[in-house]
Amino acid sequence: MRAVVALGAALCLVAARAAAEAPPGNTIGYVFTDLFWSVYQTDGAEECPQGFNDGPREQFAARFPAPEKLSVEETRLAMEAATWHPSGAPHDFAFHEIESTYAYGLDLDGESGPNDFRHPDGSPGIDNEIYRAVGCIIGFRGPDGVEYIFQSKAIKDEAYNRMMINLTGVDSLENDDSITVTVYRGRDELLTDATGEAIMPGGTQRVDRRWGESLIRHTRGRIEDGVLITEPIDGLVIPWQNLQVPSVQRIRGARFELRLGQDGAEGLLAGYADVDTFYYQLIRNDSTHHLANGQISAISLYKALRRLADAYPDPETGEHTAISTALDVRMTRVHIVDEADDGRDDPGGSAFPVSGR
Amino acid sequence: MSKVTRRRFLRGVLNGGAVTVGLPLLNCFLNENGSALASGMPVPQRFGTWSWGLGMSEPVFVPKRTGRGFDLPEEIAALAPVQQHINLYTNFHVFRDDAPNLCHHSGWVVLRSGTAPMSRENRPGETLDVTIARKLGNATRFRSLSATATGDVRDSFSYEGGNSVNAPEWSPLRFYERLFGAGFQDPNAGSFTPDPKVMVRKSVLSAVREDAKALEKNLGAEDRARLDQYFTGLRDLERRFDLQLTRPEPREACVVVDPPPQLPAGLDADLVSRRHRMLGELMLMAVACDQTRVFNMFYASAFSATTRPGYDKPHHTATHEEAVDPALGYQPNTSWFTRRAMEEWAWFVEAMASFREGDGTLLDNTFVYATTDQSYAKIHAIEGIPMFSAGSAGGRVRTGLHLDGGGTPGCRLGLTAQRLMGVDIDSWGTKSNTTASEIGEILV
Repeated sequence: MRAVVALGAALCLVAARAAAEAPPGNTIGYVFTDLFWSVYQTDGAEECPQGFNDGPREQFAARFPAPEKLSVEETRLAMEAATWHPSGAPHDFAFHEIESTYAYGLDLDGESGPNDFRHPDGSPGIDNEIYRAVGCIIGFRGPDGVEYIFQSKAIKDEAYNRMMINLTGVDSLENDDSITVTVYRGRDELLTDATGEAIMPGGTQRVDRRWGESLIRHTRGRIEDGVLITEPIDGLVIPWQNLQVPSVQRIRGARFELRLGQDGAEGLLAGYADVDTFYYQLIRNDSTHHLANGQISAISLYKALRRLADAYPDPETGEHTAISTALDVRMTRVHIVDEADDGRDDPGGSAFPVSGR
Repeated sequence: MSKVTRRRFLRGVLNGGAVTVGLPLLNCFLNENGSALASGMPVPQRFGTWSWGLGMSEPVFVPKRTGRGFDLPEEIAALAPVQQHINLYTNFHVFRDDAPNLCHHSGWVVLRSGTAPMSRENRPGETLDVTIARKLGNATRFRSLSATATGDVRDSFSYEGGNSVNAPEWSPLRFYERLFGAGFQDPNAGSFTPDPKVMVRKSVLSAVREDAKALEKNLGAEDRARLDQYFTGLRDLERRFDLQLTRPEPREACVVVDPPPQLPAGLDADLVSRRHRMLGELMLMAVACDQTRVFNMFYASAFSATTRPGYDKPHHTATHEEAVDPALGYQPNTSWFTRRAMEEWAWFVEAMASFREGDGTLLDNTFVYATTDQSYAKIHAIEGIPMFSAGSAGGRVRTGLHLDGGGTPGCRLGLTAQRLMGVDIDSWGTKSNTTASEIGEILV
């Protein structure tokens, strides 16, 4: 027993030393493997005491009790039109927002107001109004909500949505008061185990300089007790592909808070999602069939997003265009390779690694 | 016995192209043990596949006990009458390595081809029924036959290559006409008269072939290769003509049935069941009449749209939209669809067991491989995808067993099936689906 304890202590010491050591070339790269809107959930009773929201199927049945007496144009097409040309104006259907005081996320504005949540660890001032809007929609909840399932699956299945971060100037993964963080789009499939489900560290990702050039972002950050905290990035664009439909998400004032490890990183990506981009990503990626699977009434959700939007007011109308949010993010360590240093693929140029391992 | 055989032989020789034998089909066409045809040829082995859609509700599908006498949870309770004829395989995996998890596609493609597809359009390799048909299907009129109870010609888990899907029969009446219409030679008919049209076509074909062979000496390598390809096609045609010009061996279980009625289109579960049973009876009669030795029966598709009277969501939609009943621990309507599939699987196995053949049944001389596309369809899971087999392949397979695969490749069953059918392979599958390990527990 004593030997086991001694061995455990020795391993902890080794791990601590590894974290404290600088990565090779003072650089380390990670690729996104999971990214989804952060939802604090119990069995629903705490945060959704009114129950879960109805979807298109339920709303259709309530709105058209005798659809056979109406034309397709008056029924199905009318609902499709309302989905694709949404309005923020109120309508007749009740919409259940989150009623819990708890949410995951970050304090984006440095203030603690009446609309803010409290983190389950007790921290006040959490800004996450997307959670307030989607938290009582089955499709956004794990473990089998349709959005939850497809989004996690899409990152593993597709290369379009390959995103990664590269940390440079890293003296220690435990504490470093100043590092550079670069966001890239990658070009390659993820390295998996045989099941295709577990992403293995040590894969290589080439930087996409052709289609991903405009997605590259730089910011500064610091590492405190193994947690990376970055400064905001204004205008982070995330390629988002789901059900084979390419799309994007735009996050303003985006920042990472990630626990770093030798093999991966895990934490939050928080900021303000552009409301229209969020909405059109959803309905482009999901037909009414998939929305119905998750009981997601796009029509009702758009009204909630408009109602709850809390940042970046339109200079002319004053209406908020963005809504606070947080995404759960998991990453796996990769070797990031930039194939050319002139910003373009150059077969004749010399390839050089961006991140060591 | 010898007298009967000699009469048939003499008449055949004397009359050349037209043979007449006034004999009913009797057990005396078989050897003393009923295990071989009287000619000494063994009773032919058959291979079949059966497909159902959208997996299972694991809590009420997977038995608690393995081995013989396993329990039958409620979702597979319908299998009780045929439990002694089947094996159930659970906790076998399909591996996709670097391939995406293509919803309702990856699972069945791996189990049928041994390879994870890279895209929805991608159909790697060929399905194992095609491989087996090359081995078993050369002595019958049809190398293999496929039929689908969905009524949709696109529903098939059998393909020769990416762009060559074996289209199934979808209409019972059309299937009947194909089987028992022009070209059908009743193996038990009292008289046998070769079709003069076939004789003419064969004779023309032979002449063409002779001409083509004469050309061969004057051609370059590339053209000779083309000609060889051409000959391969000709040989296949000739083989089929030969079969039609040869009196078939009598088949005890073969009875030419009446044409079935035309069925309406639709996917109501009762209608699908009727279509399945009509097509199934025809398929089994085609096997019993030795029209084919390889068959594919398709009960429901991967995106099964079978409907339940009084319930608004078809099967596939139900798997995703229906909530898990917290008290039951599964999706009740989704489970209803799977139960209907199991009823049809039981019917199919029982039907095979009802065809007498020598001292056993058609099922005794067959190995049926039954697969689906997902394990838990709600989340498109493919790990632990369930499989069945039925039949003892001429006494070489133990039945009545539930086997836990322990996370090993599901391709082990496909490998076992191919070896049982005489396909000479060391291993089957690609990447992590590769296996050289049969499921030895079922082998006698």
